[in-house]
Formats: sequence, C-alpha cells, structure tokens
Amino acid sequence: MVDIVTSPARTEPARWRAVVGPELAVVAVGLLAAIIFPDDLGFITRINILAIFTLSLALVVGQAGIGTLGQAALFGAGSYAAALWALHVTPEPLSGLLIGALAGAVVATGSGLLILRTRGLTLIMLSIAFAQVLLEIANKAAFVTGGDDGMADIPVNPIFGVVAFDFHSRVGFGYTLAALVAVYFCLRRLVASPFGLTCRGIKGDRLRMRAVGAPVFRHLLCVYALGGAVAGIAGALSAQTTQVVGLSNLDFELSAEGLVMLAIGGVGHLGGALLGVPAFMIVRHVTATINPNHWLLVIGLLLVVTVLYLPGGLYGVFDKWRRRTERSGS
Amino acid sequence: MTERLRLKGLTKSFGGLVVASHIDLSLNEGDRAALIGPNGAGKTTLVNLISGALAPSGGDIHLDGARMNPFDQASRTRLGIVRTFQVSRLCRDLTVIENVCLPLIQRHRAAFRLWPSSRRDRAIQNEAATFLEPLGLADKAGRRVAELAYGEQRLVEIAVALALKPRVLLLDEPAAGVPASESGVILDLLSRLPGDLPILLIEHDMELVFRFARRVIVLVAGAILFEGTPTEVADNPQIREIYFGRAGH
Repeated sequence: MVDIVTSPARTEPARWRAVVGPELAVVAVGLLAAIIFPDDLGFITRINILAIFTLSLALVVGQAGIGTLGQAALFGAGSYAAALWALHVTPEPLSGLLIGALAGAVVATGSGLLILRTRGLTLIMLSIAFAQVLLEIANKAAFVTGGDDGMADIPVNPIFGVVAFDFHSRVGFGYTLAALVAVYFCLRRLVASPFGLTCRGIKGDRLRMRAVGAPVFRHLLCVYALGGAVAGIAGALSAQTTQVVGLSNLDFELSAEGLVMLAIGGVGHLGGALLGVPAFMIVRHVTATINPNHWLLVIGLLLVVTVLYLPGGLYGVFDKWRRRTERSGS
Repeated sequence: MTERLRLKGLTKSFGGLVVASHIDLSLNEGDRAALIGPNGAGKTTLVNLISGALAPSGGDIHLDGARMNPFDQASRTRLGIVRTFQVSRLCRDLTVIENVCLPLIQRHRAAFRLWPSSRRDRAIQNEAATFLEPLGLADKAGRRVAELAYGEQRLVEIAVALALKPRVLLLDEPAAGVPASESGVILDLLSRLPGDLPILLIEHDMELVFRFARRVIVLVAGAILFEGTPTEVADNPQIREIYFGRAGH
C-alpha cells in the first residue's frame, strides 16, 4: 500500500504525478522512440509486447516471489487462444485481447494448482515441465494449432472498426503501446493495494504470513492467475500484430529471456521490466548486427555485471538518481 | 473465569519419537501462564501444535469451546489463536508500519482488494500506528524492519500479534536475543497487555517468568511435569533438580 502515515503530504500536482506520471513517461519515451526510429516500428512493437510479458514476470517473481521458468506457457496460451478466436469466432482485436488474458489466467490457475504447492527449485522445474508439456500438446494437436507449422494469416479487424493495422506497424505500435500503458497502470495500482502488500509479505516470509492469518496458497494462486492474464495479453498482442502463432510462443527460451530482461531491469519493481526489456533488446539487436554468433556472450556479460554491481538492476540506478534529484530539489 | 483455550490429550510423535505426550492444559480469560522446561522439552512444538503449524498425532484443541483441529494455521489465527516466534520472523524488506498493516489487512478482510483506496488504506495505516505508539516505535514506522535493532524487532513482532486482536496469545520467547538489560522493556510491555487476554509465555529468562506469570507449567520430555504458582515451582525439589540443576538457583 502507499505509505500514507509516514510519507509527507503531497500537493495536488504531485499527487497526480504519482498517479499517472510513470505511464506518461512510458508514452513519452515510446513516442520519442517512434519519432527517432520510424523505420523500426516493428522492433519497438516487439519491445512493447515483451515489456508486457516481462511485467507479468515482475508481478509473480518480483512481487510474490514465485520463481518460475514457465511463463512462456501463459504467453503461448494467450497467443493460441487469440489466434483461434480470430480464426473461428471474430477477428475483432479487443475481444481477442480479452480471450488471450482469459486463456493465460485459466492456464495459470490450472498449472498453479499443482506447481504453487511447491517452492524453490522444485517449483522452477515443475514450471518448466508444465510449459514443455503444453508445447508438446500444441505440437501434437496440429489439427487445431497447426503443429510445427503454426498458424499464419490470422485475421485482425480494424480497432473499433476504424483503425486498420498497416504494413509499417504504425497502428501495431500505437495499439501495443496503449496496451502496455493500460497494463502498467493496472499493475501499479495492484502493487499499491492491500493485495500487493500481502504478496510482498508472502515473498518476505510465508510462515509469518500464515501466522497473520493470510491464506498463502490462495494469494499465490490469485497473483499467478493475474500474471497469467497479463502474459496472455502479451501473447494475444503478439498473435494480432505478427498475424503468426507458432511453437516458439511456448518456448523455454522466451521464459528464460523474460527473466534475464527482468534481472537486468531490476526484479523488485515493475519499472524493472520497462527498463530491462529495451536494454536487452537493443543490446541484442546491436550486437547481433555486429556479430550474429556472439550476441549471447554480450548479454551474458551484461547480466553478470548487473548481478554483481547493480543488485537493484537498471531501475535501482534510476531510482537512486530520482531520489537524489528529489532531495536536491526539495 | 471463562475458558478460552483447552488442550485435551494433545500428542505429537515423529515416528517413534514422542515430542508431545497427552498434554492437558487450559487457559482462562485473563490467564498469565508461563511454559518452562529445558531445551528440547517440546515447548515450541506445543506452540506449533496449538497454532496449527504442526498437525497433532492425537488429542484436541478447543478455542472458546470450538474444536480447532480441522482448521489450518491461517484460519486459527483469524479465529484468535495468535503466536509470536522464537526467532524474529518479520518481513524484513517491508517497513515497520507495513508489517503491522499485514495483520490488519487480514482482520479487515481487505487482502483480496486489488485496487488501492486512499480512504480505506489510510484507516488501516492509522490503526497500525496506534499499535506502534505505545511501544515507542511511532517514529520508526517508515523504517525497514531490517534496519531496526533486534530488540525493536521483537517489539514489532508483539505489535503484529496484538494487531490481530487475539483471543489467546502465545509468546514464544519474546525476550530471546534481547540483552538482559533491555528485557525490562519487554516485561513492561507484557504487563500493559489487555487484562482479559490469556497469555501463554514461553521463556528461558526465569526472572521474566516469575515476574510475569501467575501460573507456571513445567514441560519435560514432551509431558507436563508440574503446574502451579511461581512459588510452588521454585520450591519444588524435583523441578529444581531437573530444570535448574542439582544445586538449584
């Protein structure tokens, strides 16, 4: 919860800055990137989608302490559900997003009933196993999912029946940026709620939380389902903007990359996802352009440097700078 | 006096090892009881059994006449069986006031409220502050628990327990790790707890036990050896031999 008792009283403009300031910053940075790099809107759109996906990890890993390496299963569930919805029900994109969120939440709840009874290494291994099982099901159920070939040419109607997706990803960029801002706003509110504080308590000490009367398992299941919904939205956005869904949407590599992005950005804050994803994607893009075989080495070095010298990730650095600026300003 | 907590034949064994053996115990309204015994006697195990952290192998636990055995630890806490821990178990990365808000969120059934509300959140935080003021921790409300001295953490732990509005309070060595010179602060705090609240204190600090308790229960090898007033316990030669050593205190 927002600390009202010990925080100094805020003026009205400061209160509004706290409520929507970070979202406005995301919009400003996104638009700036689109203006500076108009030919890379597809790449920036991918960053937006991965930022939403990594926000789901920031919620379950960073806030509730659920160490998972199977988040791609929820992303993939959202992708496939949105694709099937578009192919068989309606290509209307917003309902597709809802279906993606619902699919992510349902799969998270189903898997969570099993894996959240465990902790630590066991939970990590079970989450990987569950994602691999889902991937294999998607592979074998080719009559529904297209199997190894996946699904292509997924139809997407214009947003609100007016704004059609274009070849240059202008609409895709705006659509994913709007989704990112909406998800970020909701998650920031969630983290600042009593539910969010309870999640952080559970991350801190589960036994303590049982001793204060918290139904720990139900909380974990709830936050995992919410994280699944967010990952599902990211998956649905991926399906709608690329119009392709394949097994890579369920791949372990996506789960692992999400965690690396979060570690680089800073695990304990939602903002870590927003900083980690562009940092990872830009470094990968630049290094892969220079040397396609060794970009992973640079990412590895970046991760090592972050873990050793920036325990709070890039967000920790940003937060320190922000506090120092606020102190010097007051 | 109304009976709040009753244990009937409470037993716990791990394979062949019996750690609690047919324990019968009751706590009435306003009881100030202390549970003492040598290391390994099963004192913390008994607290774990009562609070629901461990499932008993046999016997019953009743709170206000209702059987508690089917309830898990969180449910028992919500019903009023509240405990503290031998080693401080606070959420160290949260602030002091956030730690005290956690039980209040549960008590006010706000734990699944997914959206902040400045009015309702302020009410919870103001209530949390009322538990910190009597402990002299109001000025440290915004500090992370990890930054507090250990003695202060013990006080926060008691504030967290009180915030749950317990029907029965189980204090597992509240003065453990606190310098002897500061255990008076704990005693002072205990003496100011609500008079009708039954408290079971587990403590090795005999001075604290004898000043706090009106009834002392001696646990040895998982079984109650003796129950009586502090004076009766101090005068009992068998207890002096087992607990205090052959030479006595």
